[in-house]
This record gives sequence, structure tokens and C-alpha cells, in this order.
Amino acid sequence: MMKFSNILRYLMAAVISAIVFCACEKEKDYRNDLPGAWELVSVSGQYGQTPQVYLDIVGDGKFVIFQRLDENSSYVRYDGSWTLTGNRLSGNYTDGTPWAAAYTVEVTDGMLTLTSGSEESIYKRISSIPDSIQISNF
Amino acid sequence: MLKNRLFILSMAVLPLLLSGCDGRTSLIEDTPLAASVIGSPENADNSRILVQADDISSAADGFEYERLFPSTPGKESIEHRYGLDRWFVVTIPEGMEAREVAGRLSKSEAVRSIEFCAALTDPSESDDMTVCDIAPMTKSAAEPVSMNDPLFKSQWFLFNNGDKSTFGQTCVAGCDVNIKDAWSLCAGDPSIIVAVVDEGVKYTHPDLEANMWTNTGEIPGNGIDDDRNGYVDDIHGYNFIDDGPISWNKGGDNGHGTHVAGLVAAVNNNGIGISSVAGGSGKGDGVRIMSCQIFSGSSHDNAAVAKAIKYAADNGASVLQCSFGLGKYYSDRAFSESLSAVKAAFDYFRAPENANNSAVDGNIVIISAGNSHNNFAEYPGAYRDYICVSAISQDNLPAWYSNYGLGVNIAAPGGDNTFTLTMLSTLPSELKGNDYGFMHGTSQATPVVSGIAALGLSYAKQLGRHFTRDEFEAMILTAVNPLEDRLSGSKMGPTSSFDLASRKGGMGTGVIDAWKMLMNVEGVPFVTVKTGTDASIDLRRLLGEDASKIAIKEVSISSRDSEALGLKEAPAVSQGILHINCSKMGSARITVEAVAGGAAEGTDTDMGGKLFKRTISIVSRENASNNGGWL
Repeated sequence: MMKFSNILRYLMAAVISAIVFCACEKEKDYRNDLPGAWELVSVSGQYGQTPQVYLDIVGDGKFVIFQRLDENSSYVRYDGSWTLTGNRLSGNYTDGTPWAAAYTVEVTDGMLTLTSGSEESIYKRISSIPDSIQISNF
Repeated sequence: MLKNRLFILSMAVLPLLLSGCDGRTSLIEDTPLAASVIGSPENADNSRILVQADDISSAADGFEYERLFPSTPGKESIEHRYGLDRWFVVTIPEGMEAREVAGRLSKSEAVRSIEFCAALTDPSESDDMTVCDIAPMTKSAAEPVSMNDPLFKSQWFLFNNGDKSTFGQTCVAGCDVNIKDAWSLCAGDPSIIVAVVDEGVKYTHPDLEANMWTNTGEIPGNGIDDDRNGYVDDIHGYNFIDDGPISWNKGGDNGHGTHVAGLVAAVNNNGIGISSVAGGSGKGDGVRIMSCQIFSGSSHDNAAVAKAIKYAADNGASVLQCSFGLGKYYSDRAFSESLSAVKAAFDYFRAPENANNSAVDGNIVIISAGNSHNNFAEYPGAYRDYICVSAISQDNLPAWYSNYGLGVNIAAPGGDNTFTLTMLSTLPSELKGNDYGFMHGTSQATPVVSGIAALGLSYAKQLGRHFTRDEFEAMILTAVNPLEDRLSGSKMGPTSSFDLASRKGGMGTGVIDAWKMLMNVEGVPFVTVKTGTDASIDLRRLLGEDASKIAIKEVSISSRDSEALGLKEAPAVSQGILHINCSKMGSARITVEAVAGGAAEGTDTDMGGKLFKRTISIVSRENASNNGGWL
């Protein structure tokens, strides 16, 4: 039978492993996972139709968004710069307007989750933003 | 001298103006009549009358008659729906008077109504027109513009840089329709056709020829109605007065139709002459002009107007450009009962079944308000279904002659002869020896709006957008720059000054802007608001720059959308601001119903503005950036 001291030892090891694991999670650097094209697939809230948002994150700290928040509207293009500090993603639009929030980032299996407060947006990785969308904006 | 540029087509079919009358009068008083005889035979064409009848063969037994509106193959059911198959032209036999035949036919149960054919002298003044005496500028001397047309610099209504030496000491920079920005998105589309219902358009004009609509189903000059549309050799339109080829230089013509056509779609970027609103980019992409001739020399009548409108509908026109008046009526009912054949043709043109382009369910009618500086518009422009245009000049103020008030929906540059330059456009050289010249009037303001409507249709097609007719008309009415705040003090007319405050609320929603029209076409405007806060949304983007001055009739949101946003109180609009507080994240649409021109919409009995609806999309988010960006 295992001694109580051994049990404590195993428990301690498990706790330390969990702590180390968690620490690794928090410190995971998504810098290399972020660049590329992303399409919004879900967002918190009750939308008649999920807003159509395409995000192109460029490795040099720039980004471009094409968004259509009403099905009868055209895509609108925004661009600017982004910064990743730990797992907090923030940025500014080219017109100087800051993003609405700094988002907590998680990238898993080709899915990007941006969270701020109770709002969670999930994007899936795509090979590139469709040409038809890029052409339709001005 | 008061110069009235607007064609007053007919005063022979006068409405009854007396209080309590319903617009009908009986000419034969000694025997009971089954049908109403509208108007007076005085000054009317004594060779024919218009008869609306369910069974013409019994009603007009013994008389010669033919359909007023030739039937178009494939459109029979629509013609029937709008009653066009019940209109006939009855020939007055020799030895009889129109009045006598009208009286006899009016006794028939099969006859619904009878109208006399108005045929009056065109009161427009041919000396209004001045030919262009501006030396064409070289390209190097011109402003850096999108098009290379050398006379562009004199077209202040397209681009006004505030050059006082050219445009006058009181000109205001930016008093134009913002066309250069619009052209960067779209300059036209050859599938969009504007019917110029006016004098004949000189289709061989060097600055118009390439943008003339051509009826490919007709073989020119063979004397045969090849496409069986009821008209022989109608290649670029038709002369409905003379029942034959289009003309533009008969005695009494002043080039009005050619001038109007040039404002809509003179060929752009061809290195000659003028630019136009929707004349393309020089690559064959301008909208097309269809000439529907209702004036010929001194002749015109209501039968020709009615036929011209139906022809435009049946042969592809999406915009009906009407710089003419049919007289002074004082209610929609009086107009529609007095000129019921014309009214039926307008209804037919606007019908969803007759939509002539893929962008809009129905066609658009744009009509001038008139040049009598009255505080009400003339008909048919004043009718509540049509877009009625008043005029401003290059000082960004109402033109002294423009009608205003009841029935007016929107303003546009129309020029003003207190300035050296008015509206420069194309003219038939046969009249005064020059291909270009100046005119001014609501007749000139109207084609500016028609051109912008055509540009909007072109852009909608380019983007693959589709709208209802009412939505598209609302876009036109709200694609405007402000005017109201400048309406104080006085302005000089040709002989005396007038009080600008008298024009307040009377010029329509504002001054048309081509760029804003294209922005409206781009789609439903949206705004992002922060969840859980009181949001105040500026509606200028939705209703035009004078949003705070526009009468709001209703603000509506569906119960589903209200639930989606968690609204505790219904959204409300005051002073052009939409107030809303969303407790939940989500999206919704809010529709604002408003009046274009004046405080109340027009009704059958009371002249008024045109009701329109615009929709805004609201996105409520916990994280809402100040510039609308998603992140």
C-alpha cells in the first residue's frame, strides 16, 4: 500500500505539473499563429445573420478588415496596425481610432477566438480573403 | 422680363378650380350623360378626342377610332391592368365639332370618360437660350478633372471651384453635384436608358450621338414597323406629335430637348464639348438617351404625352425625364381626373411589371417643379408619386424663378440668369449656329437629377444591388446636401429682391449630390452602438444633410429586432437624431418614414410632400469602436 507521504508526493507533483502547464498556456506566444486570413464564424449576441467579417493579419504588425454588417450593404474596408502583448491583442485603425478593446487571443486547430468581456468572436482560418470581396470595396 | 423656361404643355384640359368641384364638367346639359367629359374644347384639337371606353365598338359606332396606346406584343395583360387598352382616339368627322361628338359619345354606358386633345402654343421663350461663346479651353489650361471635355470648366453644376471671375461674385465653391467623386466609382452604363420626354433630341449631335439609344429591332428608313411596336422607323425614339421621324429645328423649337439630353448624358471624355452627369468615361459606357418627342415647333398635346410615356416604358427606359408642366392643378385628384390618359401612362411606366433594369423593381419618374416662382409646384411634378425638382443657382441659393413649396421634393442646380453662366449643354447647331449653349430653369435642374438617378442605377447594376422602386426613390431624395440653413436674408432676382426665408421648407429635402447617391446605392447604412448605453445616432447619412428639418412620420422596428436588441423603449427621432438604448448584443433594422418636401405628405385632396422610407442597420456590441470598425 502506498504510504501517505508518497501520496502527498504524487499530489504535489500533479499540482506542480498543472501549475507549470497552466503557466505555459498563459505564456504561449501566438505571434506566429496570428498572421493569415480569418473569417468570422460566430459572435456573441442575437444577429439576424452573422456579420460578415474577414480579417487579414499581416506579420509586420498590419491588418486589413473587410466587414459587412448588413446583408444589403457593401463590404467596408478598414486597416491599421496590431500589437500582441502576452496573449492580449490590441490595435489602432489607420485613422487613429483605437480598437474597441484589447482582446484575449486563443488559436486552436485553425480557429481564432478573440474575447473581451462577455463578447466572444470566433474566426476560422481561410487560405485568403475572396477576391470578390476585396474588389467590391472602395 | 420674367423668363419662363418650363414648357407649359396644355391649358386646354383645365381642371375645375372652384371649390367643391371634382374636376369634371358636363358639356351637354340638356340630356343625362353616362360618362364624364373632362375639360373644355376651347383651344383643343378639333379633329379628334380621347375616349376611355369598355366597349368602343358600340360606343363609337359610326365613328373612326384607333387605340391611343398601340399594343406592345407580350405586354397585353399589363396594358389591360393599367387600363391602357381602354383608351381610344376618335376622329371627328368632317362637318362635326369635337364638342358635339363628345356629347354624343358621353351618353353611352360603355364610355367612362372623354378628354379633349389640348393643342396650345408653347409659351417658352426661344430668346432664353444663349449659345456658347466660350472659347474651348486646351487640356493643359483646364482644371485637373476626370474627363477631358474642354467645356467642363464652365459647367459649375458639375464642378464649382468657387472661381468668381468665371462663375460670378456670389458663387459658392462646392455648389455642385459632386460629380468628380461619383465618377471615380461609376460614370454610367449603356443598359440604363433615360427617356427625354421633350422636344426632339438632335441624335446626330457630335457630343450625343454615341450615347443615343438605338432600337436594334428596327431597320432605319424602310418605312416598316419592323419590331411591331406600333411605330415605324423609331430608331432613337419617336416624334409623337407629327407621328414620324424626330425633329429638332422646326420654327418654334429652341433646342430644349437637346439641351436636356446633354445634361443627362453628353458623351464624356471624348475631347470635345461638355461633360454630363452620366455620360460615361469615354469607353462607350454612358447611359443612353431615348428621344420621346412631345413638342414639335409650336405643337404639342396630351395625347402625345401619354403615348410617349408608354413608349418609353415598352422600349426600355428606366428613367422618365420630364421638363414640362401640364398646367396648374390644386390637388392630385384634380390632375388625375383631368388628365387620366396621361396619369394612366405614368402609372404604367412606374409599374413593377415594367421594370426595365435589374437594379430596381419599377421605373423612376422625375419632373420639373415649374418656373413661375409660385409657392406650389405645377403638375404633373406635384403629384405625390413623382420626384419633383426645384432649382438653385451657383450661389447655393434658390433660383429666383423656381417654384417651391407644396409638391416640391428635391432641389438641383438649374442656373439663374442673374449670373453670366447658367447651365451649359448641347444644342442643335441649326438653331443658332452653335453646338453648345446656356439655358436655365427647373427644366435644367430636372435632368441633373435624372442623370444622377441613372448613375445610381448604373452603379447598382455594377454592384449587383437590387431595390424596390420606393427604396430607390428614397435614396434619391436623401442623397442631398443642406440648403435650409442658408435661407435667410434676401437675394436679387432680375428686377427685384426676394425673401429667402419664404423658401424655407419649400425646396425639398436638399440639393442632390451624385456621390451621396452612390453611397446610398452601396447599401443599408449601419451604425455600431455600445450595448447598455444611451446612443444618439445622427441621421444625416440616412436622411440627408438637412435631416433635422425633415418631417418624421414614423419610426418602426419589428418585434423580433426589438427583442434582439433588448429594447426597453421604442427608438425615437427628434431633430434628426435617433435615440436608442440597447440592453443586448445583436443587430436590427430600424425604418424611418419621412416626408420629402414640406410638413405633410400629399393626398388626393391636399398637395404635399412625397412619403419615403429609409432603413438603418443597428449593431449593438459590448465592444464598439468609434469608427464602426469590427475590432
